[in-house]
Amino acid sequence: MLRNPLPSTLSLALLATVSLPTLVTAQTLTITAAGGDYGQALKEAMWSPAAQELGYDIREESQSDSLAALRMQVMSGTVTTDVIHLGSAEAAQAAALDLLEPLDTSIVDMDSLPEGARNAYCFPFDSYGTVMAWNTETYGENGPKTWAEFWDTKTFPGRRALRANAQDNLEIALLSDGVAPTEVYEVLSSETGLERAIARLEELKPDVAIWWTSGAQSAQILADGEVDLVVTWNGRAAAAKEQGPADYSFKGSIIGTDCLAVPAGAQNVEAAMKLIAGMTTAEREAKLTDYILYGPLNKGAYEPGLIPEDRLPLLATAPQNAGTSVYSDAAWWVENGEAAQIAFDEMINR
Amino acid sequence: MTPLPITIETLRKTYGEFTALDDVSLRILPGEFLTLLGPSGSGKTTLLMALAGFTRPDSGRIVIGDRDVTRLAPNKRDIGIVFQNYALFPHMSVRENVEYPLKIRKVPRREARDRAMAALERVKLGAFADRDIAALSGGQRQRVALARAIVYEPRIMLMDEPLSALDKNLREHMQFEIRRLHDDLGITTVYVTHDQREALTMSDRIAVMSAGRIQQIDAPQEIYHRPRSAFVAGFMGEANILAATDCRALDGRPMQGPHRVMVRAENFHLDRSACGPEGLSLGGRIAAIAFRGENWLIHLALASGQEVMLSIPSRQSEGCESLKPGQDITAHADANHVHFLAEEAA
Amino acid sequence: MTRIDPAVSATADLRRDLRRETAFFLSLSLPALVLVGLCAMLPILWILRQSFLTLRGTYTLSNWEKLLSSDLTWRAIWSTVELSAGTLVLCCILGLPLALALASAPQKLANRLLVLLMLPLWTSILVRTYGWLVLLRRDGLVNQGLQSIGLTDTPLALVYNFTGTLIGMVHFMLPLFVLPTYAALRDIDHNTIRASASMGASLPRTLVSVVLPLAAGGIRSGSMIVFIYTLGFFITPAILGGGQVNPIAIRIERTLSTFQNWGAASALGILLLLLVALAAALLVGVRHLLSRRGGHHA
Repeated sequence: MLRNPLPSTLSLALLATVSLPTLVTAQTLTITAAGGDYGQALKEAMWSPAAQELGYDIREESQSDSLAALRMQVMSGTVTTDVIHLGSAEAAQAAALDLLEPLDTSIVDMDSLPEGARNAYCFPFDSYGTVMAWNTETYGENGPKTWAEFWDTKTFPGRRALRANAQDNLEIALLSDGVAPTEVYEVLSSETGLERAIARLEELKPDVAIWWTSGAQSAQILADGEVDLVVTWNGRAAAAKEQGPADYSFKGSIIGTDCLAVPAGAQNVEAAMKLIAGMTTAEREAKLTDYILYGPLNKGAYEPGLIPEDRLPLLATAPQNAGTSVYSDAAWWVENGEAAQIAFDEMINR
Repeated sequence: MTPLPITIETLRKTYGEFTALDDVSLRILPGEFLTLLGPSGSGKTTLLMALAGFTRPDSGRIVIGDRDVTRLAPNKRDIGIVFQNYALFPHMSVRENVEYPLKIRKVPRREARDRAMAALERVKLGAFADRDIAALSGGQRQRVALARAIVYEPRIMLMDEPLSALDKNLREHMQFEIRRLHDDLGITTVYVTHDQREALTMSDRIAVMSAGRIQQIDAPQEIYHRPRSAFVAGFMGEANILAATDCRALDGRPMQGPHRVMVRAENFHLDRSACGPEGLSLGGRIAAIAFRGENWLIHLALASGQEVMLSIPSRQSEGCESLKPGQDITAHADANHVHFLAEEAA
Repeated sequence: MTRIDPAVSATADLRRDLRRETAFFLSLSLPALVLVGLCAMLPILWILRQSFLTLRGTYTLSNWEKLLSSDLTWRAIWSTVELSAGTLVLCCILGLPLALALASAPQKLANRLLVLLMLPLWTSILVRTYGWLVLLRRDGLVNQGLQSIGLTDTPLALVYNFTGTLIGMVHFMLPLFVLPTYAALRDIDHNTIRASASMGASLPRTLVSVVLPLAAGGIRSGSMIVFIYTLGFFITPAILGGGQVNPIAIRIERTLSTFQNWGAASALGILLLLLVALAAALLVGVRHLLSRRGGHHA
């Protein structure tokens, strides 16, 4: 979920000069993670307590474009990062480019993860849902309950806004067309699957007033009444609900995950794996939800008592929300993302 | 086309505190060449611009022919203007410049071309028709401006110091050409200049202006020889204004005061016998003397402190070669050339 | 001992002085040359190289093949040109009367108005663009105004589309169009306008036949600035376009953010650069053509 697109060359340069290895007695690891509030939350809830427990010194790098930084490090042969925080799609891309060490399953606990979320290179630890949100002034409390209803412009007349990106939209389009959550990627991978999804989106296009490009924008246009229905991320939807006459639902949400990985050729692979394992305990993932509305992936985090009751309905992976959800398949996207995005862009610009 | 008269009635224009035109009234005869002469700020250009329609008067009336044009837009007045800086269109060729007013009048293409060429021939620029304006000299530009102003045969021609940017020889030549053009076409013409010689050379009548008023309007000789005020006298060439008390009659008797008289520098003689029985004499000391080719110029300091200028023609130098500064001499002027000035025009 | 002819030696000395002087003045431009070379040429070369690289860093032509065969590229180019041309046309329609009014206003007033006109240039483009968002959205001031005076029942779609993008871009570019146009108009000799009027031309006729041709240089500079500047616009279509307006700059960003594809994005960047060069060459060419024709008065 590192969504700031433009990598800063300056920070790349800084990265190269600042993170020269230094000699210290304690094990020193470098973690590259998101900056800002999110990065602060990761530090306080997860890696700071984990490092203390393991007796590591942590050097922190914040990166707006982790994949670019990772590529730069691995290709130049000067890997200074030990643990890197990536979006699952980025991670799949990185894995395809051989930029990541495979996860050491003897150290990290794969069994703690839901099946749809498991990955051999990057360990998912939190999640966000792509959800439907609506203006309650337009529809009252009776918003659309399924993607099929979201597509139903007769029952729910109004201006819609979707993200200007194929990701999640293709899955949603198929769900709206009656495809079962478990069969979404099967259908997408079939010969006519992509075509079917794009055609379904094109059906809705006359009612799409805005193809949004930033999460903040998606919340703003909903709160302002600029549009009546939005497909957005659950964190943004929650913000819009606080700000304006809006509500949202996790029904049929597409769950994306963020994950932790070790760059290929990292200097302290074993220690890095231990840090990942230490960061992703049920308690620490549960703690993260105090700071930010990203649902834990560790099933243990939802054991009673770890997450406050009133917080649960806000998390994409909470048991009551996840039933109808689809885990975004990063591998499918790495393989088909470019073709899908081109087909999507052509549809928008048609 | 019969030329039109212009009547200007109590025309007034003020800019804040400054009065540019102070109730000016004036009648310009059909086909007349009238010059507005005066120093800068005298109101002559304001009057011209009011005639053209570019300056809106505060009050008064302008009538061209029998039509009141006071509130008429410039482009409806059917006037031709020649500007001081020519105001040619630099993006058009010489011929296109001259054709422009004809195009506006929707004259057919071929006819417009022929008339433009004829106008250019008239100002001797036929060979330059396809040149760029930038490729022309100042004099040539002036002629293009003239051709452009006459080509559509306007009822009235206005010229705003059209020759002031030219050098002396060319200017004198163009004075005659413009006058000849006027005589050929017979268009009522109002000409503005601050050069009294130019005014004298070209005009049927001259209106001398100062402080927003017409001080005197008369034929050139009249204005030159019989200025009605000290201002007009002073403006029309080297005139000496003398208090009657400084002079004596030729026979030695004192002059009658308190009049003031005007004697032009060239009308003084050092030889008493060159004058008739009546006239005046003026005694003084030579402050400076210079030979200038066609004449001798003498600055004569009077007892009152005033300096008087004498211009003695070379061919009758009257012994000027031997004169030295500091010498006392007496100058004489014939009564015909002594002009009594009206008292009120101080 | 050779005897030196003093005249010859003086000539040689003078020539050497001249050379030295020329060299000195040339050397003054050296820092600027180095700066331009390092800060402009090198990155461009780097991007050019990048456009021939795969994600793994090997050389390839595929970025260019994909780019040039893609419908999206041509749509993006069309959208870019459409935006720039639309901005230019609106700048002309709005800017010419504005420049004319300024040029005929008293100098003091004109100077004050010019400062007002420049004001937007001193405000961040981001701030201004969001400002337009607030004004133009469905419950924004403009729509509220239109509805309250009864011009429309339902809010008009003024933003998140081509219209909104165009409004934002025109707002940004207008001062840059008006300034050179105003300067050219101000330089026109007022007597040529008076002369035209005296010869019977109405005001519109004088405008078309005299004023505009004489200000053509300024109008051309303004047009060139507007057209070429807007070819690379990103922020305005990104914020006000609502995803419906996708010129090349937007495609570059999209390519980077969704595919991490530096090669394809670099190729797009080079394409934009070529488009700018082409537009500049066309505009300069048109000028040459015009001035040559004008020079002969054929």
